[in-house]
Amino acid sequence: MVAFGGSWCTHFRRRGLTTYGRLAWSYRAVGLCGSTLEQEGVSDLRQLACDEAFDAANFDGSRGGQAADGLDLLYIAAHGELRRQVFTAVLHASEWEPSAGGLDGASGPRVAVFDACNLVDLSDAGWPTPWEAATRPRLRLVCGFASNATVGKGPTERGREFAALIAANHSVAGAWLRAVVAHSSWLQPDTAVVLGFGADAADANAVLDASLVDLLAFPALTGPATVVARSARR
Amino acid sequence: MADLSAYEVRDWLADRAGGEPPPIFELWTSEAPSARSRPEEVADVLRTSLGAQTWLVPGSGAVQFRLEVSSPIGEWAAHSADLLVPLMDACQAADERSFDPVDLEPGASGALVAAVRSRLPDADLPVIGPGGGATVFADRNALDGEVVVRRRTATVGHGRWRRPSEILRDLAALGPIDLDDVRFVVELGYFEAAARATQQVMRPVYLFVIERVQPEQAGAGWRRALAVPATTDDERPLSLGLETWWEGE
Repeated sequence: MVAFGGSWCTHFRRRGLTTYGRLAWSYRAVGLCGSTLEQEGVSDLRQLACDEAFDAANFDGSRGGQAADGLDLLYIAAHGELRRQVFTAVLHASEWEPSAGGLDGASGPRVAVFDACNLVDLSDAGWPTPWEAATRPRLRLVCGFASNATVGKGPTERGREFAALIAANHSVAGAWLRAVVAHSSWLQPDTAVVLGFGADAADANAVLDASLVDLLAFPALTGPATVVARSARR
Repeated sequence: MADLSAYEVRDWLADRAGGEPPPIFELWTSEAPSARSRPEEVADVLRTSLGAQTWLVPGSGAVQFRLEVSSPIGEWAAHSADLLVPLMDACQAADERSFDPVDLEPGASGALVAAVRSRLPDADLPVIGPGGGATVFADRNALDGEVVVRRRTATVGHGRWRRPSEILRDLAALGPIDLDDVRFVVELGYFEAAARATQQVMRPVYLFVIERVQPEQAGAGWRRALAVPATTDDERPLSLGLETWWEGE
């Protein structure tokens, strides 16, 4: 049984002069994904934290623990910011840079989903740098957006679609790309992105082609990864 | 499609709501079969022209398909044009609309290799999603696609245009936002749900995408999308046909 953990933020505390708008529906993508995986018999469901209880210090190791350890699949929904190629998940009252810490534990997650804006900018040739700078033995796949991520009651159905495609044995990376596109409007579509982590480019591409069962069987990485991206936007 | 400041939305809505309102259409569902309900025709086209395996999505009339291939994923972008003719034929078998291929972003990193979207020529409006077209993805050793084009079986009335004040009231679902900080991208068209939804009617809506681009100094970008009915007959609920995209009271 796969261990699934999900956390989300729906409202945010002002930081200095900067406001962060509410994401009232962000819980839906996480909840629909987790509950569908559980209903399909793929995973057990562990809610990690939400809103004011979702504190970066519990994830990034600064309090000694990393809440994502022990999970196979981590699903986070929050605001996202990308500055100087570094992605920050903006939480209720704190910020988490997952490329800097929290996903590098010896029992860290295999798959991390950031249902948030601007995980990477693929038009910037340096986009892999933060993700290739550290060793993360277990992490093989990161899913997110190379654009703003639409939040709404309808578009967040992508969480359910993602889980259903995983349960149907599609590649996890392909499931994310399809799920985001399938629940985007034709008007202002989102760009879904997946980052495969491997010992080399061929290994990273094999990750992007792997089902969840196959992905869990990939060997641990012993050094910094080569990271390969695929994206989809209609 | 219009790209508006918050202060331009009311006038834009007032300009759009003129003339006879576009019709509301009844859609085929497996719960209400009719003589014209044959989504199997779509599957037949895909099986015959592509040799694909097909599955009907229960309740919606959408068709999903899989075509085993041996080429690596990156090579499929070059072959996407080969898929468009059978894909458009399959769409035509689903419903009488005009269909256009979507220009996809070039590059080997793309996993989406073909897409088609639709327009209702009888109403002269686009179908604005998330359904209303077809997509094909390259995934491992297969092409996975879906045709999400529901068959219209009847016109069930025209209703009346909703007033701009009614539309703006529905936008209250957005919650508090800084109106100086966002753009409203909006289009009048028909709403068609994603493949797994059972949708009974297809109705004209304003689809709003409200966007804040990530500021240069500090703060996050965000994007909200919601569909608001453009017309009503004051009998059917406003939520009818919008499925999970309805955010009103």
